[in-house]
Amino acid sequence: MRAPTKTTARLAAVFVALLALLAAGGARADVLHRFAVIAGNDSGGGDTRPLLYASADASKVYDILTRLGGVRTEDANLIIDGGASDVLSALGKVEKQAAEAARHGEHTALFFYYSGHAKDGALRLGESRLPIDALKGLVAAAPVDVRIVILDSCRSGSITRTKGARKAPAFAIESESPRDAKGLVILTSSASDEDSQESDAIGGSYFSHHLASGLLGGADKSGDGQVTLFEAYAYAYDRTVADTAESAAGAQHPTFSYDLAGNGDLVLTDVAARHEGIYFPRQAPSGVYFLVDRQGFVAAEINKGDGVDRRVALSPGRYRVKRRLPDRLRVGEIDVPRGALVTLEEGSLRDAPFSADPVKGGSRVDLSARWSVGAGLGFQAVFAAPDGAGLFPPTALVEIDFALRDFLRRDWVLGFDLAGGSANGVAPVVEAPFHFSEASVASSLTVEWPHRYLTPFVGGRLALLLMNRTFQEDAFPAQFYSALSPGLVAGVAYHFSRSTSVVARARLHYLLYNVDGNRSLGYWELATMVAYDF
Amino acid sequence: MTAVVASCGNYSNEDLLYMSAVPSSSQLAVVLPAAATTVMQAELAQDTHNGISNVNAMLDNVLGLVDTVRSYEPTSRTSDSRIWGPFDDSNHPGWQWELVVVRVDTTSFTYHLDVQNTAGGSAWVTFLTGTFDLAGGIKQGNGMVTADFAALATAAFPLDSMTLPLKTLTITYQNFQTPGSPVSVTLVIERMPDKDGVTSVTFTYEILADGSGEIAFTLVGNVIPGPAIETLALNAQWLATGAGKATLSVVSGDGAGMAQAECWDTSFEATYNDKPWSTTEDVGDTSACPVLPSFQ
Repeated sequence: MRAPTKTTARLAAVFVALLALLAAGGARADVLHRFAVIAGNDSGGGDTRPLLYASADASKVYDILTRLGGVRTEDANLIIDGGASDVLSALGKVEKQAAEAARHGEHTALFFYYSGHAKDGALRLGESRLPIDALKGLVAAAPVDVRIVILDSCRSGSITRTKGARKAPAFAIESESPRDAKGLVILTSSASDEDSQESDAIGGSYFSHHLASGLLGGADKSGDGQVTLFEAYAYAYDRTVADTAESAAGAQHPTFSYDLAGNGDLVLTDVAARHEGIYFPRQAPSGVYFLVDRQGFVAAEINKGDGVDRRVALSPGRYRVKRRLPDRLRVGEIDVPRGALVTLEEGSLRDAPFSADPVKGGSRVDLSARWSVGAGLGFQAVFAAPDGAGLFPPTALVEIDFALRDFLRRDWVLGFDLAGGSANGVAPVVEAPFHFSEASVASSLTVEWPHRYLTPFVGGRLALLLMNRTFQEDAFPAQFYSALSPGLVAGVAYHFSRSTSVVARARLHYLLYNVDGNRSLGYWELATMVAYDF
Repeated sequence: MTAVVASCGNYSNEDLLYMSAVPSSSQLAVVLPAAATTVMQAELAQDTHNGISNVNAMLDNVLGLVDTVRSYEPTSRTSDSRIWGPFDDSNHPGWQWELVVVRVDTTSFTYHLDVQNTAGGSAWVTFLTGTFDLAGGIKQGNGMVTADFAALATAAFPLDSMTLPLKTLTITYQNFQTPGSPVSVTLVIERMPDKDGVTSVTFTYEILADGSGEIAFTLVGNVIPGPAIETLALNAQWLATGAGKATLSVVSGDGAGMAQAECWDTSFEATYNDKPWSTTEDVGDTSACPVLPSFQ
């Protein structure tokens, strides 16, 4: 008799929760008051290898949820490279907001996404740790009707570019976890004994990439313009497994835990309501379409079936399109104006050889080298001791920088810069006013650590300085001095758009002055400039 | 490290200090008021201009040589000296020049410009010797330069017709570097007697910051018919506008005590002339003379 009783109780619980979910998920995306906490951290502390795309993945998910997922920006919390305390603080803030919403009779949902390291049963946010169990408890206890947790992380592994670097006990959120919370959905990027892998080619983790592509419309199997939780998961699962099957790290199998499994669904994104992006008509050939943005990143990867249409709610911009055939490519470009849904016509694509593939590596984008150019103002001063100030006065500079990124190695920047400036001064020994002018040409090699908004960098630089002094009095001839000057450079770029950034930079250089004996001088420079990435 | 940071330049600040110890011809040149265009130029004004032109030509002849040598960067440097050269003299093949500037102490320099006949290993002959003292800063210096033309002639250096009769030229100066500041220069020429028997000429001039100036020529020679050797003195003063006055006097010798006074306007035309030995040339009175500042 205990078994029927338990079964009856379970069915009753499922029924009650199902009603709640149906009230939320069965309706359109904007019925639920949705809150989101989205965290990404490339660093997992000193015993892990830095990830490359965790922060970018989080930013992408944030963009999709706020643009298509019915999450208002004031209800969305994006935490890039933050610590556990930041995540907990955001959860606490959301709980208060959700409780307030509930008091007004609203149905609420909490969307928690994390991309980053996880190890020994804890999320690793930089040097801080957030135990998985604690996170589950917090989310489960949150005063919301529906909770969705997506973790794109894994146990550590030794395979290159996997999330985690060392062997350790697996962390897992079981796909068959106890149903201790109603309306709790958990997606993980890989099974408990698997690594979650990143890809240079797609510029993100496989799972988050395919999840994002699905949420943008690729997963809309029903064709109703809405992507549900099940659709998104199924799409991400299929594509992730397919893409990682042949990888060195082995196949990666996302997991899905749903306390109301099989009994309901929830709309995650409404791609039809936006009416903006690219429309694949029914008659368009089937296959996998890559939509590559101006930065060379695959904005979406759509597996279109035969005889079905798809809407892909991409942001306005210009995209390269590619579909791969056995013997050639079909490539083209398409513009997505703001507020317009543009139909991709097969006739607008052209045949191209594989060598012209904007998405290389078999099926992936190659983040090839790219140029950027910057211009700005700087200030240079030679250290006064012992005779620097008298020789070279503090000088304002106009600077132009050219940078070639990812040419020698990923995140290595080969730079070339030109600068010029002038100043007036007085030669201290002879008390003679002079006009000083300087031109420099330099090459630098820096390493940068790109994040969503900020990209710090540090490196070395070798400059050829050409300096000249002319005196107001004709008693003295013009002086010139040229020198090769090695130095260090460090700074940070703030990206206020995908291609434009403001750079603040400092340089510290050695300068040998050897006209009448070797004297070691040094100089520093500060500069700010605007840079544009092509 | 030196190989890595290859560097090169021409002059250091210290070089400039050594260079500034030796005056350039332009620093000591007399700045003339605007050139006269009138055909009725006052007699003593014309004499003054001619005298100044001769002074400047002389300075250029002597110190222009230094300017040329100094236009190169120092050939060698020590903690208390700079050497320019030897450089070949393109105008006089077979001769080379060398300039040596020595810092005696923190406030004084000496220098000498030497010439050598490159054929046959002749000894160096000193043409210029000089001193410079930083009396209150590099721009408050006092200096003296002596040019020994006789030594050049002895060494068979090919002097031109203008400098061949000269024995020595001595220049003393002060405050010559600050633009607009007073310049005081005395230039003494000792020479072989010319056709007028002139054996020495002394120029003393002072240029004030406002552009006004004074110059005194003293000439010794038998320039007035008669047995005695005369000493003539021409003292001229002018404003920056060009207007000025001059007095020519016979200090000694034949005609001793005679004097001519003349004033001119901005167009250098005589406004006053008192010439006792030719009264038909007299013009106006002293009220037509400009008011001039006090000179030292």
